[in-house]
Amino acid sequence: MAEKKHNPDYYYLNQLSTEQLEELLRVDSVSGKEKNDDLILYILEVIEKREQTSPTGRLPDVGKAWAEFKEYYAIPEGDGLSLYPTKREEEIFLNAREKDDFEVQRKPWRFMRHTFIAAAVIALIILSTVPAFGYSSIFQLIGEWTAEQFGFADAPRDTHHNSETEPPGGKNYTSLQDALIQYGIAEAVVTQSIPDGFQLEEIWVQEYAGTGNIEFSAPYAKGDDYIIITVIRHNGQTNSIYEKDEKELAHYMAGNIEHYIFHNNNNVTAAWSVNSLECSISTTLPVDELEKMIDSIYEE
Amino acid sequence: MKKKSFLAIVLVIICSFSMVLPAFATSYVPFASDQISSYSISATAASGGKIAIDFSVTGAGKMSVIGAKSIAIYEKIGSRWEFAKSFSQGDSGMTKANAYIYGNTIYYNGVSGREYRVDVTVFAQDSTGASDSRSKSFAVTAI
Amino acid sequence: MQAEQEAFLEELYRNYLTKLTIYASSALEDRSRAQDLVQDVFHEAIIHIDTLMAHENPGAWLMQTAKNKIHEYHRAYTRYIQTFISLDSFTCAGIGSAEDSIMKIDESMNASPIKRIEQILSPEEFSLLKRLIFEKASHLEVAKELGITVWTSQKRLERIRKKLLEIFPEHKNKNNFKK
Repeated sequence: MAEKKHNPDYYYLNQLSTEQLEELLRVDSVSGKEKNDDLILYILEVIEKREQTSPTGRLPDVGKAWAEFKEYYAIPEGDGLSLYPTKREEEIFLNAREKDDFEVQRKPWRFMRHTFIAAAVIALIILSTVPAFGYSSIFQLIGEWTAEQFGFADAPRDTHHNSETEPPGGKNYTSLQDALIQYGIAEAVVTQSIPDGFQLEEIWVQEYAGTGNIEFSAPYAKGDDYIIITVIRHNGQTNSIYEKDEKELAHYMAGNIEHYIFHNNNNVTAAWSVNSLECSISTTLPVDELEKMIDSIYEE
Repeated sequence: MKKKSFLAIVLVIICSFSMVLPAFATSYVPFASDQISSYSISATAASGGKIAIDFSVTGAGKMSVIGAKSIAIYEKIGSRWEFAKSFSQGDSGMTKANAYIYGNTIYYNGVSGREYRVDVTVFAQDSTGASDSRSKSFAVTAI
Repeated sequence: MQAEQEAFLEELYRNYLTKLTIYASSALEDRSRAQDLVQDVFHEAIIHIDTLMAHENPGAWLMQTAKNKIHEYHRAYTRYIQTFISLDSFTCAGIGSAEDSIMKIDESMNASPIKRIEQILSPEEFSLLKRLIFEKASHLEVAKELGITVWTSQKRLERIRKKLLEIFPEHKNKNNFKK
């Protein structure tokens, strides 16, 4: 089957769970016969791909179904009969045209049907992203995630940043805090409390010419355990993607800042945003140790 | 009409909450990664026809090799796309050994005004030899 | 069907079964019923195979057929049966006990609708009605259980429907249920 080009406007649907996508399909089936095949096909493909990767029993066994079809349905006794009759077979050929799969001649959506589905999607996204303790506006929300990945949406520019600041000439940093200070970063974003036994492996600073971002990182290690602290100074646009598993993302408030805590198999990461800084701590330690490290950032 | 449309949308959103509230749960198994903790990739036009390809990968621990696995650049000549240049993990500036994190900017000398497609794959390989990768593609017009 | 037609149908089947099943399962909220319906879609395709082979977009035809069947199912099938039997107690969980619902339906009658239906239908017919409507079994499941074909199951349901219309003639026009 040829792969259909998809409207990028539908990509937000990837944020929804399979149950939520199924609910949209159910809405489509009961709300009339208006054509929105592009959207439906996109949803079907998302569900199908998810099931092919991680089956939950939603997909039929095609070979078995075909055998059953030949044995039970496509038999002479059924000639001219229908298990679920409709009266509109003759209308189908008038409606189905176009060359792509499921793509039929587009008809304008009815306003309420379009609004209904769009509103359902908006509601689902709102429910998926607004934290338990609420924001005054969803536009204040800056973290976006699915069950697979986490990332920050566009964050506000740091209006106080002096774009004419010269980068430091020396590359020797005594600590992560030292490196940040040398680049003129004064925000409290570095943990003051690293658990006993962890050794600092390096202070890594990289300037990216394309985006203008500067990345600072300090990994610590103790045996098989590690802690990696990363701070990225960006110009209002960040494109970091954090891997995460199916465990639910948690919110942790400290220093009046919301920290997102999520798991990636054996690791846990806290990510947060402060002005034009995107910060994270990834570790193999338990969540309570991570929270202690976060708390220490804001201790005076 | 705008007020009516807005009211209709608000009413339907309110109704939608009652419809969707019980059905809020993820059910599919996501990907995650045992080698990659986070990554970022971008390709932007720089002056003089250059394309700047930034990449960064943070490993899920210390990795035996970490960085960019490949960068492939295609240019549009007329109506056709043609292969222009590729970088592989063995090229200078693409990877680092025995590291937790690595990133860099790789430049490609393009032609001003020409369209390019840039496919970037980053990866991390741990001490057992297991590796994972992530890819992104970009459309860039050189300036 | 001729060999060429069967080959075409099989290709169509393998290409579209999965998506149609996902859609129908979501719409009907019942997987076995959805699979039954999707099989019926492909059975319809047999009837129109010549036209489909020449069609620009057979996939769209299949999807539209599925949607039409689902739409009719929602509108006529379930609502019709619910009207006859007021299936609140059987199909809508949490709306009270079976006895309460039956008492509310029509307390002025000598017997409840369920009782009247049980009297007019044979035990086998009542069992089939219960299985297909109350328990939402698919025709395929019933066919396998009873050792009959899906078409026999469907024909028996049609006979039951006609008998019920005799019991409740006032519902003939209410549901616009045309033969």
